[in-house]
Amino acid sequence: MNPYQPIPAEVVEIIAESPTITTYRFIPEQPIPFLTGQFVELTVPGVGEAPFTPSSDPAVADQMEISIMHVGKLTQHLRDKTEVGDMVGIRGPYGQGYPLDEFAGREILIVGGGVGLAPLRSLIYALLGEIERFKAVKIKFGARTPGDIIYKAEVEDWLNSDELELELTVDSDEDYPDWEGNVGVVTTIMDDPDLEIDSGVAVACGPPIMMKFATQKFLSMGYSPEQIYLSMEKNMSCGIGKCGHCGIGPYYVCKDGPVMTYDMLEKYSEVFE
Amino acid sequence: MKNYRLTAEQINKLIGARADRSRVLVPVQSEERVELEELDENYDAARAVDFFRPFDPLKSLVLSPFEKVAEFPHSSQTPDPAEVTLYGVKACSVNHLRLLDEIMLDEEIADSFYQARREKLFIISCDCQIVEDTCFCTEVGLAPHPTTGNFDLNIAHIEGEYLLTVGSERGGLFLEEIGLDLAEAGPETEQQLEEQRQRIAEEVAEKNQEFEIEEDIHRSVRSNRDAEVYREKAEDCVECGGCNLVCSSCYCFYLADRPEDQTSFSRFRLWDSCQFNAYARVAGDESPRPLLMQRIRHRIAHKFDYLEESMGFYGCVGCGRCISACPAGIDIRSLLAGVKQ
Ligand SMILES: Cc1cc2nc3c(=O)[nH]c(=O)nc-3n(C[C@H](O)[C@H](O)[C@H](O)COP(=O)(O)OP(=O)(O)OC[C@H]3O[C@@H](n4cnc5c(N)ncnc54)[C@H](O)[C@@H]3O)c2cc1C
Ligand code: SF4
Ligand code: SF4
Ligand code: FES
Repeated sequence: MNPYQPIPAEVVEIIAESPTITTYRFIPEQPIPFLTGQFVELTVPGVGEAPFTPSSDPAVADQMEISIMHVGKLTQHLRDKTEVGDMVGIRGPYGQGYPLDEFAGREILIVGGGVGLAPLRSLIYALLGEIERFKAVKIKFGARTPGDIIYKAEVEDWLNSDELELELTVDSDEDYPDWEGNVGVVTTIMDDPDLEIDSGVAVACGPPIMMKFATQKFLSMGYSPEQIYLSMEKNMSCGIGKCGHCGIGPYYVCKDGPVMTYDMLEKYSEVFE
Repeated sequence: MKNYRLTAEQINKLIGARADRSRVLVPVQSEERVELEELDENYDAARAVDFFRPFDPLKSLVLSPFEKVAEFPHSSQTPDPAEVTLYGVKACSVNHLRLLDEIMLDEEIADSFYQARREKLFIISCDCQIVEDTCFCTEVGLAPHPTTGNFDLNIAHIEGEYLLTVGSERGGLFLEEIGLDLAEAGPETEQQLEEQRQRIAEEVAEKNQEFEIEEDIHRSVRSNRDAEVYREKAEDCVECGGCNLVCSSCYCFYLADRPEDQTSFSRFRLWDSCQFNAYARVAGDESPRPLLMQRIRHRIAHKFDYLEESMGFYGCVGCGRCISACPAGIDIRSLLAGVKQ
């Protein structure tokens, strides 16, 4: 099998999530089953390839959703040029996702921000699919402003759900007089006196700066490095542990991650850079 | 492993038999250095047993510097390389293959292009006789003769005699096929081989005494990340990437797509260098290693710390090619000496 050959996939739906983030739904020529937290390499023909984590339910293999923040060449090309009916390429899935078996029976604290909610949505779908296996699921999401909150419909459902707890915060509500929720960075809503920390796990996904502060907060709350699961982002090319680009110490994020526990990472200074 | 006695004539026969089966690349002494070339009729394979290691990086035979690896939407890109025999390979290159195999033939996902070429690569290695100033295999725990497998046949020259060692099943089958009628070497000859190997290893070690490289290099590389030597060498380095390109333990590459039309493209794989700033750039212009000093440290740390941790051996075999290649005269041994605490 040629690991560099993408599977053609058709763009079947484009959903605007926020001014900077769009979700694309794809139907690949052959199903691409994935585990939550694993990533794929997405090619825009002629533009290039970049890693993304599916944001859809891992129980569905014949379709895949990817939520993308438009930050540069490839991601802006997607926003400006790509239409329903266009073909892209997908290869993968790659890497290590969230170890749900290890999460079983434990309280799970999930912290996310920005486009980091993409993998977390997939994780939440996966948890809800067998929610009885987990002791509790507590989610803290941060966004820059109320307008930047993505997955509005799902967020609404989760706020009303009694299977999990969700709390939201925004960095600023200046232009949003209707916002009644919390204002402040996500670390300000992470404390929870009812949390079972000793036996729990903590999960974070978001921009590097958020991950850094969330990790510090987890540690100060009493989580040990082995209990902290981070979704790492590094420059990638091959996605399969060959090209060398995504190295952190002895690990390749594409192969040993992207979901990695903090004890693997803590001694490497480049982790959050 | 069994050793057989071999005559000069038989060596040439053996290489001739390889030529009936495959393309054969052999070391040739040019004015400046030993280079790999196609076998020609007048080649004296027995004489070449003693040649110094070829400069050409072995990786180019298994991991092409530039190759098409996919086409979109549909690809006919299935590698089907020809058989290649590589003759006169020295232990350092054999050790390079150990690392490349480990990375590229990973059980979970193998690189199909590497795999196809690797399966067609027949390695005939030769014990080192000539030790140059750039050699330091003994300083990284290796030796000037194959010690880690990864060869099909090995030839050693001892006092007018040649000894053949079979290193793989494939090598053994080939020998049977060509029916050379070889006599097994007795314990005395093997003893002689041992002594010679030890002598040459000592010669390498002696040449490197001035660097005082310690045995557990990885410990210092791990603990002394702030060593001044990284900063010093960064002043001289011109960021050409030459050290990476000639090193067969440097396997980094990147993928680049060339548009064919609106909806189709070809994907190429190109060698890359961790000494370039663009190498580890995360989306856009953020680089986790913006300073050259950090990139030099990364090269050393990857070879002597990270790979030691993940593979159990170093990503440097002490072949000295990067020392010869560097236009700034940077000697990797002085980096290692400088890291030592
Ligand atoms: C395992 C993995 C999973 C990922 N999953 C997702 C995902 O699900 N959704 C997603 O949108 N992205 C995800 N990313 C990041 C995504 O791969 C990059 O954003 C993408 O490669 C950018 O490509 P580009 O060509 O558009 O950017 P480039 O043309 O390379 O330029 C990017 C520009 O944007 C800036 N920039 C880059 N990243 C960010 C950022 N995160 N925040 C702010 N500014 C930035 C840079 O400084 C630069 O100026 C993931 C990355 C990895 C490694
Ligand atoms: S780093 Fe230099 S000496 Fe070490 S294996 Fe590579 S080329 Fe040879
Ligand atoms: S070969 Fe020398 S000058 Fe070139 S990048 Fe390597 S160390 Fe720097
Ligand atoms: S992306 Fe190539 S090694 Fe990880």
